[in-house]
Amino acid sequence: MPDKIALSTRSLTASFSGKTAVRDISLDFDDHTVTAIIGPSGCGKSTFLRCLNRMHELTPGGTVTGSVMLDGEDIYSASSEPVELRKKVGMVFQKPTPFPTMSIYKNVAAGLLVADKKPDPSRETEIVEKALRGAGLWDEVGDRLKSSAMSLSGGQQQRLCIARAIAPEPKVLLLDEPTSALDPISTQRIEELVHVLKKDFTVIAVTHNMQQASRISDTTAFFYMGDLIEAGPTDLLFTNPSNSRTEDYITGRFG
Amino acid sequence: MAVNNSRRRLVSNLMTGATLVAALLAVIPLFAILVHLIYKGASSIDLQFFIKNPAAPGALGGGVANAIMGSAIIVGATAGIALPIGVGAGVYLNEYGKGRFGWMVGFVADVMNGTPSIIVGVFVWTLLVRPMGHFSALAGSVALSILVIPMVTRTTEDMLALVPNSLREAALALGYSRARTSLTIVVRTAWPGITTGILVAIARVTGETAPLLFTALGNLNFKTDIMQPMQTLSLQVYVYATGPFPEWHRLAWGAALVLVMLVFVFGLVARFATKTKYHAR
Repeated sequence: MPDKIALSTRSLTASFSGKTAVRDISLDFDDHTVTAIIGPSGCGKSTFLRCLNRMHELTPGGTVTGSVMLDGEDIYSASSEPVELRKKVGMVFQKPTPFPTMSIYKNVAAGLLVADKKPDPSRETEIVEKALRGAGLWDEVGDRLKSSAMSLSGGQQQRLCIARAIAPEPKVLLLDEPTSALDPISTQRIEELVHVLKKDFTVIAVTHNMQQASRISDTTAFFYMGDLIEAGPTDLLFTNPSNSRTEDYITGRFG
Repeated sequence: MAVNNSRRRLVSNLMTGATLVAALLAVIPLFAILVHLIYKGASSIDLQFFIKNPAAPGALGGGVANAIMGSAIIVGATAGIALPIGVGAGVYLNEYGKGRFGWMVGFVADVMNGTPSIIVGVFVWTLLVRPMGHFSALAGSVALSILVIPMVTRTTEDMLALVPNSLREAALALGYSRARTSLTIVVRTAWPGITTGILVAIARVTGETAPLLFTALGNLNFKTDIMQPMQTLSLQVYVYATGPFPEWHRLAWGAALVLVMLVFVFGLVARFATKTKYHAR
């Protein structure tokens, strides 16, 4: 199962109103692995991530060139529908974003409403439970699914967002600094969760925290000023980086 | 140091006192009106007042059933016309219309918000009453709608602007279309605020008189046909208060009290709607 490529980018370049944020990135993401994207603030790592589910083009002035291959198709080809694509590539954001008007249950089921095959109510209940278990939240909220999502703590809200993202069973899960707004204990819970999630999904996580990258990922890619400097197995990249800028960054000389 | 401290405390107390006086001055007229209305109007209000139509000029007794019904019909029709347009325009302005056209619509809404209501009345008279050849409740509703639409458009837009963009992105990232995101996530989230804006706008036009003088005209009989002239509480107050009979003046106070109570209830509902939803747990 490993070594099969889930997603790959070729010459991916993204800009904001003509200003290039990410330059000529070609990178493969293996099936059922966790890839961490690290780099200093403003290096383009989040922009790159947002290209993978076509969210970048929603930013005013945002443009993308190059290609991203998923299931043998270029998601940037003319026939590709961003709305359909996003059902296959889930995303969790930096700050928890539960829908405030909805209950815990409705939040998790939100993505199922637009699924190609809408599950019937009993199947939906099963999927919601499975997703909440998958996000490690079931034991805490299983008995109050009808409460407002806003009654949860920040860490719980973020795991709720993970449950919401995995409920429609996407192929790829994008995590955009998912723990940067959380306390250490919630952070640890989400890091442990990532290990479990890769059994079912291909995970790509942006983080500015190098310790976190080394703890959660199989592969790490280092971005600097819009360029991909180096990518490789995480243990190798952290112990024996081949590029001096990578070494400077991971040893804390800048960034 | 000690001198400075006591001086600072004195200034602080003086300023707090000044704002308290300002707050009292702001609410005193309001309470004065309410107390006076209750004093003058409460004695007129009994069951007969609600179920009877006006008596013949000069005769004793009679009620404002026709005016209450008329207000309900005209304001109801106004809501039916103005709310879909106002809310729709607000959604367009905030979610889609960031270009020149959107700016223009917003500007027009602002100008319309400041237009004196009597001018709207004259405008609808030219537009509807003249061509149709007679006054009608419908023309009254159209006039009130012209007042409500810009108010609702602007509050809807403002309330939607308060919804954080991260919520839109979260929905889009789940595979929601833009239209679905706008309606099921953004509008739903902003709904308590939009409801408040709607109720405030409806409450305001419930008391409008000037635009109705040229359109709905008024009617001493009980009418439910929207194509006919119709009475409203505000018109009733106007006619009775300016009439020659003491009995009319008495009824005018009663009608005014009912009108104010109605607006008061709208306000309470608006408050309630906002409170419960925003702090839902």
